[in-house]
Amino acid sequence: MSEHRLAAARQQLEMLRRDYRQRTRTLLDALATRLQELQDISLLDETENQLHKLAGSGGSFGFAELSRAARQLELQVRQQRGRLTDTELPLLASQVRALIPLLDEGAPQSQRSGQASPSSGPGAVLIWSANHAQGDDRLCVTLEQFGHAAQRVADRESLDRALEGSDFEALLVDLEVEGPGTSQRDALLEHLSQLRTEGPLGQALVFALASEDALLLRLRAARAGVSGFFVRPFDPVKVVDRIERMREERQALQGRVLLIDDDQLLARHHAAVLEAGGFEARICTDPLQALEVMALFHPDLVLMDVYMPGCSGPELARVIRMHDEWLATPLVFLSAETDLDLQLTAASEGADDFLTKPIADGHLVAAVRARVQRARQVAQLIHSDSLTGLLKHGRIKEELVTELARARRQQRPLSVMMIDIDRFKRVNDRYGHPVGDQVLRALGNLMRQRARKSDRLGRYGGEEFLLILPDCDTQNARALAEDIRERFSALRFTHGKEDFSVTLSAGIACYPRFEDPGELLAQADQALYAAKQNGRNRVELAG
Amino acid sequence: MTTLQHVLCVEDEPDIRLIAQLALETVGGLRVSLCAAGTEAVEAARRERPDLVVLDVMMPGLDGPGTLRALRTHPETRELPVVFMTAKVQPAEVAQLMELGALAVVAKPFDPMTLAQQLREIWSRR
Repeated sequence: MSEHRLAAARQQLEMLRRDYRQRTRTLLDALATRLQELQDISLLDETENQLHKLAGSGGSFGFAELSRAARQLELQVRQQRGRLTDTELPLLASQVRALIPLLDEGAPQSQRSGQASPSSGPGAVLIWSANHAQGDDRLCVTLEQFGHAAQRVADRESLDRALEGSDFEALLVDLEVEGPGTSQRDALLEHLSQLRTEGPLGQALVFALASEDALLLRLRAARAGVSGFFVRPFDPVKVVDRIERMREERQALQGRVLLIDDDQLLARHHAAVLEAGGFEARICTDPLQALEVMALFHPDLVLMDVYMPGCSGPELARVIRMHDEWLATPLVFLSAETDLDLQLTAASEGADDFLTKPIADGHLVAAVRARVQRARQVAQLIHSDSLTGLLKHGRIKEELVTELARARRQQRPLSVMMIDIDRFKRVNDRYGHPVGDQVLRALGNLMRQRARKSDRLGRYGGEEFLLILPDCDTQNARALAEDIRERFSALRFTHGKEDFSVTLSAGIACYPRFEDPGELLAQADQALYAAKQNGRNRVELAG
Repeated sequence: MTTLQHVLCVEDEPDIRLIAQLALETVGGLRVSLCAAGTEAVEAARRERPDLVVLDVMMPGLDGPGTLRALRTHPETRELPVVFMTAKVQPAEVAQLMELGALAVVAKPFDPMTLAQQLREIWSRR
């Protein structure tokens, strides 16, 4: 297809996308409002239809997450038919409303600047418990706040249908959903084991929701493949946190590998081998593009050919190492060169390892895996805040310098967002530091989910966070800030029998309005201060 | 006719009609005719004489399967190849649709950048 037609298509698509976004936002808002205010059960028909349409159209306009979430919700509404009462409509209203942020520019599936879209965002969660189960509605709302579509089922038949219908990230099972007796619980656990071995569960995590805590029960649950155990009344935020932690752990096994080789065919083969081995691979056939690709992709390891037109491997390695942010990234040469001297020279040029072509598939995967694991562990230790997993103060400031330089080169906007939790000291004083830590972790998780993969997130201070949003203008930054602010304020934390919620304030400053890192930080800080002065739980823009 | 050139799209949602047109015409270089209801499909097919008809499954009034049956009762449109488009792609549902005599079932949401190619491949396998 001609370049010209492709460009025309993309332009038209962008226009259609914008229209779709606007119309759908209005539609969802109106629907949610009617569900909430009219409390009319006959709205369910219309709701189901609308959701079905969204499921079938969203993805075509680039809103894949919307399609998925709408589908989940549609299935849930269908299953709840006949059992949903008027009083449960407000919950549905909030679930419908929770779809709106999925239309945002800053939403996780945004695909601008050629970046890879995250396939590892929050997945759907299935809850198997009795309809009257205490607290499970709140669990659903909390899950939705964190971007997990939540679906409830009350019996085995509905469970099976739901599992058949979609992939879930987690299944939460009330151990007493089929009855309080030991034999009923055991039968339930048996069924869970079966589901695991027969496949419908897929890769889903299984958590147990129990009314009592007993070692034997935990043991039986573990045997059935359960990896989380929560005793009622439990804190829904902790459940979400667990899901996040486990996803992080699983993702830690994967890694991002960048292959720089002018031989496309071979690079594609190696990429395929690495992907089969569980890695995320990207190819760059022009060494001169490498730095740009690295800045977007953030590889855990770079595999590069030694002989390339325009720029040799060792030369490129030297250039890469000139950048602080790539000092710790393993660089591995892959070449047909068997000359030992050359290999040693390459090593001193900043490469960490030298592999000879042709290389057996298994060897490639093993060599890469070992290097990546090590590099990640080290990077995590050095750069990340141990509580939230976000970048540390020093590191996030470095990232600002880097990203700003890139924004300048590419003539793209960049936004800096400073977030501060309101009255955090009170949380620590009243509920203790462990609970305060929970709150910090929850915000960290929330930010990670709502931001894009190319956004840099850092813990700036005790309760202060800094977000660097490349390729993001004032409007989109504000939308993201409001999204995070709203979702955070809707979270309910528990301490003993007490429930509480927390809010945050945010300040935003953007390039090119402000030109250098120092100014951006100062202005964002001032805007944050204004937000606090103006009542807290709000977002202010600089200037 | 060995290559696919002209497609008739029957779809009740305006959003999807627009993006299908983008996908097939602008991206795919195909000639596209649009139709907003199953009840108009037979007339549109006779008039436009497309190579292939893409039918949305869930439509108010006459749905996808109903439209296919209508096409099959008229001699001029009896042999027209049909592809269904639907958001419900469970194996059982797809099998049911195929049994009605469709060439293929395409899942919604579709990727506007690859839909034309998808239809061409389906066409070449017919």
